[in-house]
Formats: sequence, structure tokens, C-alpha cells
Amino acid sequence: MLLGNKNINEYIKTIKNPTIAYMCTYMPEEIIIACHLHPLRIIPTNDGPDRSSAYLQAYVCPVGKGILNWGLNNPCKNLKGVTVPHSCDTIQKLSDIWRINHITEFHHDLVLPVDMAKDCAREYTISTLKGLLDALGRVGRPATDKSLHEAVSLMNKVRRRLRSIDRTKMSARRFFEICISAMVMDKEEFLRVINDIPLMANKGKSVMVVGNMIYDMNIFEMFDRVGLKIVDDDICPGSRYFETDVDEGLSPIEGIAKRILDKPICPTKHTYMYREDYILNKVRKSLAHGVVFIYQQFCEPHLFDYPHIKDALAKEDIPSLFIEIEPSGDISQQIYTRLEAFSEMLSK
Amino acid sequence: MAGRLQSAKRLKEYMTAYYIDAKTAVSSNKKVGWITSGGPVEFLIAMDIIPVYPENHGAMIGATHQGGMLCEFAEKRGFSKDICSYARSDIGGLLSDDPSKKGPVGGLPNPDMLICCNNICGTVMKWYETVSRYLDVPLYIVDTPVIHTGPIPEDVLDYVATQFKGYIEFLEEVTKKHLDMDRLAEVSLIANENVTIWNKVLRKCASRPTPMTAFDAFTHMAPIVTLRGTQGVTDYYKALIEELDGRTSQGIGAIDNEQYRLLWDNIPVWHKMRDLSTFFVNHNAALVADTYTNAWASTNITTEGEKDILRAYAKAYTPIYLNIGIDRMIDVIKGLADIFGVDGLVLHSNHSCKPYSVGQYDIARRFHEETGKPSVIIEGDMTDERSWSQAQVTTRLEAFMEMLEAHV
Repeated sequence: MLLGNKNINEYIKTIKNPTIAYMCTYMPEEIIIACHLHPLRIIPTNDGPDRSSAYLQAYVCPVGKGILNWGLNNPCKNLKGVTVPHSCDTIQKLSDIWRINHITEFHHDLVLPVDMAKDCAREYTISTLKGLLDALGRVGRPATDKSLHEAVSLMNKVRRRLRSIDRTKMSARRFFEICISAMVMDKEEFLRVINDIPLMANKGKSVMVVGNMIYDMNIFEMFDRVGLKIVDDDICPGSRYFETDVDEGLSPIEGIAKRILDKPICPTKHTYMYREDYILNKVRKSLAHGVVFIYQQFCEPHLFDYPHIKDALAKEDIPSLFIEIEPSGDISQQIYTRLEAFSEMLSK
Repeated sequence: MAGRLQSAKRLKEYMTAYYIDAKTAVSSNKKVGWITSGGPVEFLIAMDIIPVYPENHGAMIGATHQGGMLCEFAEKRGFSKDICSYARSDIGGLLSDDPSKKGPVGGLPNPDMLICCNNICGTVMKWYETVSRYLDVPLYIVDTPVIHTGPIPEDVLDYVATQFKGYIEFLEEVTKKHLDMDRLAEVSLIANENVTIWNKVLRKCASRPTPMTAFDAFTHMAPIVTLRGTQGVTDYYKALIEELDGRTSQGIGAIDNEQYRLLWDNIPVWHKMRDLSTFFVNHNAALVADTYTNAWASTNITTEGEKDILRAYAKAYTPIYLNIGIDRMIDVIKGLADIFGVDGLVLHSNHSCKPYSVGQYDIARRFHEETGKPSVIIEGDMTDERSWSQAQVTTRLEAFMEMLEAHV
């Protein structure tokens, strides 16, 4: 059974292994698995009361609020702690709020480099990952060379499996439910479940989606309903999770570090090329007719990149649509109407 | 009331001369480097590069009420209103085609290089990337990992120190000149003197009544931010100290009838400095300290116990106020409250600055729990005057002052 907005917390309640939650695709799940722990990406849901407003201002993004709310209403009985890979300023502060309010017993900040192209970033990343390995080894069991190799191999399998899916043969909602399931479920269980997914032709105009942590599956259902077929994406619960593998020819930690540094950057990181060039390449390769930007409101790193990506697309006559999800996290009818109009425009 | 500090006139002349130098850099055959406010400027000074601070520009834009107008230029190009208003207004000035609408100094002098240190926020990296694209100038990023708890780990020190080496190589490449390490050591000592004397200036406000308020400090911080590493900063602050000591020896306070002493948290609301100052004066309250100007009072580059100066720089520039955990920020605030004998805390919840603002609810709660003193949070924005509700802020501040009256 795949996980979606309605059953995700039900599944989380059934997780038997000691669990480590995390909140960013820069998290190397391999290290959690190697320490015999269950890695769990926090997927905010609207279950439980809103308790985040006692800690966070109104201008904090829905993701930040949702993550904190999830922690305060913790649905996971076996949650041992959290690791926080640094991404934006909000997540960095959220990590402190989580720690000083003792939301979980174990807390670890994974402060990765920001300029991924610098030579010194490699050595620092390796050192940071070793620190994580030591810390998690004290929560679960210390990792061995064997458990690390096995964890790397398992995660590569998961990523390869996700990349092998022909997303044009299923609804957008189904595809992103698969991605979310991979981030939440036991990985072996996920690899079994995914084999039973029925395929079907999906008609519509091809688009690519660019955005941040979009976790409400209702928005993807809207794409299906208005006849927009998502052929590629650059979002956290999509290709940003499963692109590129760990080189199994390297030592596990070196391989994991290399993947972190080499994978396509998110807007909170810097490298030798700007994101508009990367996105444009992806659009060309995927043969998408247009791009839909979906951002959670107040996401400054993405909002800084938006004008540059939009301009780069416009130069190539690729139409785009900007959608922002409001702090309440509600997916409104207005979003549906705008997607519908964009679909009609692409059809003409 | 003591009125305006006499030094303000000299400050204006000092900063005007600095901006003229920067604006005429091309004719004097000098390079200009834009650098973030928490950035290691000493390297630029040592290489005779003129440092220019876009954040300082943002503050001037706010103070001259040009924030909304300049932000709109950026917003028209697709930059969201939810982006930092320092960045938005500065980028707006760059994008404006109208020479009369480029900011209070007619726009900053074009940079030959950009130096971005992320010890103050991640926003600066995105801002400088944008400028680098628009002006096609090289960018160097000094990445300083956040130190949430405990001492700076050795791997972080090595990582940051290695980047300082890269920083030197970058500057040498752009300027085609060699950095003299002895000159850097000399500039470092001067910078330390600058920081020490700035700290002394701020500590003068521990006197009762205080000879100046945080509103004065917000203005007089310009030299320590923009000209750190030069002798002129020390000389300027020596004279300011003399003036402050003169006031204290005569029992003259910055405000009449100082009854309440308050601590300010966050970047000032530049476009409301006068109104806020008047409000506090009318309520016999003096802002005697703030976390913002104090952030430049502790960056000491000490080579003591360090085998190389670049590690000393890593030690100085990594754990600055905005690059530490919230609990450590609370400790700093409590320390300031103690030194300056404050009665309450005013927190500016700044829509534009998440690293400064997110966590303030915990800061306010802990401050009250651990000192027994009250606090108030006001919503605003440092530069964009459109994000300000006067009625709401006045209501909150009046309620706070009533609470303070009952408390003190």
C-alpha cells in the first residue's frame, strides 16, 4: 500500500524499529540505516492541533510550521530523535527551537558545506558525516563496514527503482505518493510494494515542476484533473531525492560525501553553475512544454532563484506559471483555476 | 534633554569622505569590493581595496524612506515581497534605469569583486549571486558553519581557515597583486583596537543616565562596520568617548528623566527611527543597549595559541551572534541585560531577517523566566516601510510600557 496524506501517520504508528526523523533531501539515509535505525522523512500533515504558532512567526513557511507541528504532535511511537541537515535559515533556527524545547531526546545538526564546488568542502563533508555516524551509532548500533556497504547498496536500489519508473504511465499523484512512500517506509518493504503498482497511459500536456517541499498530494491531483502531465521535476519529494547514486567503488563515507557534493544543488547551496542552467537543461531533455513553479510561501532561497529561472525560460519561449502555497498550507480552488488556464494555454 | 551628539556632524563628514573615495575608485585606480557586514574586511583593507557594504546601503535606503520605491523595481522583475528588503531594495537600485531613483547615494560604486560570508545569514549568498549575475563580477563565498552548541570543532576551524586561504588567492587573482601577510597582521591589530574601542563606546551606556541610546549607536556604528581595520575608526571613537564621558561627568542623560532602561533585539526599523525614538522619550524610556551593534564589539582576531593567522580569523568570524544557537543568543541577551541594568526587552520581529527573528518567541519566554523581566515583540521590517502597522505597534508598545510601570 502506498502512502498519501491520509494514511501516512497511520503507517508511522506501525514502525517498529527505533526511528530517526529528518527534514531535507541532503540527509544521507544510508548512515541512519547502517546504524540499524529507521530513517523517516518528516512529511507534515494537518493531523493534530496547530501548536507551532507558539514558537514561530506568521511569516515562517508552511514547511517549517508543519515540521514543528509534526514534532510537537509526534505520531511516531519509536521516534528516538532527529537529525537536521542545514538548508535554509528557517530550518537552522527550527533546529534550535526543536532542541531547546526538548522535542526529542536525540538531536543532531548536520551542518554541511554551502559552497559545494570548493575543494575543501569534500574533506569537511567527510568529517561531518563521520560525526553523524558516531552520534547515530550511540542511538542505534555502531555501524560496521558491512552495514555501511549494505545501506549504500539498498539506498542505491531505492533510487534506481524510483528513476526507472515511467511517470507518464501513472497519475502525478500516484508518482509522488511513491516518492513519499520511499522516504517514509522501510526500504525493503517499499521495494516490494512498488512492484505492484498498476500502469496506465497518462494523457495531457507535458510540464516540468520546479519547487521546494511540496507534500500535499492534492496539488498533484489537480495536475491530473486539468490535463497536465508532469514529465520531470526539481522538487524535494521528487527527483531531488532520487537523482544520482553513491559510487559503490569508493569507501561508503567517501561515496556518500561525493554524492552530496555532486548532486544537483538546491537553492540553499552554491556551485560552479547557476540553477537556471540546470533547470533549462532538464526542461529540454524532458521535452516539457512548460514549467510550473510551486513554492511554499516565504521560501526565500527559491524566491531568489525564481526571476532568473523564469527569465531563462522566457528567452527560450518556454511558458511558465508561478504558484505559491499559503501559510495555512491549504490547496485552494484558485490554484486549480490557474492550473486549468495554464493547461488550456499550452493546448492552444 | 542632551540633544544630538556633536560627533554626529563629524560622522557625517567621515562617512561622506568614505563614499566619495569609493565612488571615485576608478579615477584613483583602486578596486572596489562589495562585502557582507559580517565579512572579513581586513583582507580588503590590507590589499588597499575599498570595501563597500550593500547592507549599509540598505540601511540608508530605509532611513531615507526609499525602501518601498526601490523594492518595487525588484518586485517588477519577479523578486518576491517575501525576500529580505535589504537585498530587494539594493537589487531594485541596480535595476532602476532612472539615475534619480537609485538610492540615497545615487547607487553604490560598481564592484570589481564580491565577498560573501554567510555567518550572518543564507540570504546574503542568494543576494550576492544575483548581483554577480547582473553585474558579471566574480564572487567568493566564505562558508562559516553554524556553531549551535559547544566550542568550534577542529574540522570547522580547518574548513574555514582553508577558505581564507582561498579568499587570499581570489583577491590576488582579481587585483593581480600579492597580499603582504605582515600588512594583514598589522591591519588585524588595528581591527582589534577598533573593536575594543567600539565595545568601550557601547559600555558607556551602562552609566545612569545613559549618555546615548541605541538609536545613537545605530548611527555611530557605521565606522566599525564599514572601515574596520583602519586607524580612523579608533580616532573617531576616541573623540566620541570623550563626548560621552563629558555628558556622564555632568550627569547629562541622552533623554530627560530616564526611568526605564530597555534592551533592543534585531536590526533597527530604519524608516521609523525618529518615531520610535520619540515614543520611548515620551515614556521616559531609554534603549541603553541592543544586540545588533554589540555584534561588532566582540570579533577579536587573536593569534594567541594559534599557529597561523587564518585559523585566528576562522575563530573570530565563525561563532558570531547570528551564527550560534538560540540558547547561546539568550545567554548573550541576559549578559547585556545585566551589564546595562535593563528593565525590559523590546524584540523587533523583522519580516526580512529570519536568522535574527525566528526563535524570538523562545528568547522572550526564556528572558522572562530567567530574569523576571518583561518583553514585547513588535512586527516590522528594517527597510520596507510598507510592512509596518503604526497602530498595531503603538498599541503593543503602550501596553508594554504600562506593564513596565507596574513592574519597575
